[in-house]
Amino acid sequence: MIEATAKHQNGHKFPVELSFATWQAGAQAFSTAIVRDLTVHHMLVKKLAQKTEQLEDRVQSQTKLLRSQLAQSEKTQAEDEALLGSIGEGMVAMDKSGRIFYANREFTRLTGANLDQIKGRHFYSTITVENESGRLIPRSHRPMQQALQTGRRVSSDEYFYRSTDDRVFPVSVTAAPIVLKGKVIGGIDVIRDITKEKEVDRLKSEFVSLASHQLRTPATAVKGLLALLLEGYNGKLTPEQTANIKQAFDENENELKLVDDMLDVAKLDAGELMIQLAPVDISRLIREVVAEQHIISKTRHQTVDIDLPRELLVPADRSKIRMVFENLLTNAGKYSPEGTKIQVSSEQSAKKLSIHVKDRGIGIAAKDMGNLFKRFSRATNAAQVHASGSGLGLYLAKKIVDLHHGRIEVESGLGQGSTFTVILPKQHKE
Amino acid sequence: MAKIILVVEDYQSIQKVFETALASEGYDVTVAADGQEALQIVDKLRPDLILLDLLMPNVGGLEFLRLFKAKEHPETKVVVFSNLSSPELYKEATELGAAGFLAKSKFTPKELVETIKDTLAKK
Repeated sequence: MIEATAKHQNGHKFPVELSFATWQAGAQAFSTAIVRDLTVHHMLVKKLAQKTEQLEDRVQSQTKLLRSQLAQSEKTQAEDEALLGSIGEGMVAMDKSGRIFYANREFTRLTGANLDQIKGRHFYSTITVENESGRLIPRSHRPMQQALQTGRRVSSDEYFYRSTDDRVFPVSVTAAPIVLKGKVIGGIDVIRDITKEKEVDRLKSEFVSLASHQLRTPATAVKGLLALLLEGYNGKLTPEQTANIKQAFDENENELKLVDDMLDVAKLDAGELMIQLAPVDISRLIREVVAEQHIISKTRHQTVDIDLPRELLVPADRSKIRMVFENLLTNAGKYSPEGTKIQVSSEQSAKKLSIHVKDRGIGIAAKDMGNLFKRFSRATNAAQVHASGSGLGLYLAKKIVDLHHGRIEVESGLGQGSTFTVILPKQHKE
Repeated sequence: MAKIILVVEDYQSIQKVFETALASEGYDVTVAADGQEALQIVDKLRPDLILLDLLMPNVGGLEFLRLFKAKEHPETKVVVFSNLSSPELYKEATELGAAGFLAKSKFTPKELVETIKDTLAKK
């Protein structure tokens, strides 16, 4: 069988296949030649070859694409890993039920937990959190649980982690929900070891405590020496001398108050301002404070109306809660014009006692409200009345009331006077 | 006879204030600059009352209380008068026999004299 090119009578050339056969019939020999037109066959073969080639091209380009996509994904994963791994904060991610699916290097370093061991395990039971006295924080109080429930970011600086080698360290925790199409599908806990910060806080408070003592000693001496003059131990003074010395004495008292407040703030910051609860008669306590401040209010011709039942018992730390009312009453007097009235009244339910301290003073602008209980903040109009103030009083008052599980509310407006309400629980809360 | 008061205080201006106020009230006042000095004279002096600072060089207030307690002078009352204050310090001083614990910066000389009078009048 051979392939050849045939020529048609009209001159057109085309491929053919020739096959020959010879055979014998008796004494005669025959030959047969078969000619097959290969035009269509050749066309098909060519087409097939083209198709194959195209197919191969496509396979090749697809493979290339897949390879590059794979490389890209590996690169992204490596980048993510490097990124999350190199963050200085511990990070652990879990699904909605709390099952851990990821933890970065810092998290495993801090907790001592091995990623392979904690993956798939329950976060709340695997990674426990304690309070200052070593008590385990229940799941419902854990920032993560709260974040998952509320769908909001929850932060806390109060808790302690215990590592696998039993090292207890304070942490700053931020729990954030992972939200997909409006649904919470899991959460990420970011933790930071704040041992160093706490130590700095401690040193700072130690310093402030010592500095406060050192500042208070000369001021105490000044107070004593001026009081010797005022109380007549050094002979009679002219009215003018008395007035000037009285002014110096008052300025010195402000100084002493400022130092006391600073010391309290330092104690608060160091978590040393503890309260010890015992039944306190708030009604009597307020009467005492008002009686003490009687001289001040008298010189400013202010009157204090006390509309309180004879006895109002709540669990409180007497000296601390006294500071709160001293502060509110001093402020009420300080920021009110001469001759005005300050009213103290109360309300109570089975669960709580509310004490209102109402003045008719300069009031507080809406823009100052948000900063009222912040440290070293004073209302913008406070300077108008030439009243001294450190900006620590309300900060401390709020902190003390917080420690009692109570709260302070304010109603005020510029020029409309202010009403401060202290709400204290009647039952001792754990 | 005038009651004897020993003021144990290291800060001179404050010594002067206490001394002036108490002496003008007719008390017999002696001043010691720290706990060590006070311990040296206390046996002979036999004061009715000791006004005691806490933060002092050499022998501080709490250390003085501890050593003074061992000397057994039950007739002498000790009033701590300091600018240091905390519930722990109060507890410790009271356990060591202090009859009172007062915040120094809260008192004027006259108020101090009144407090001393009250303390001495108490059994």
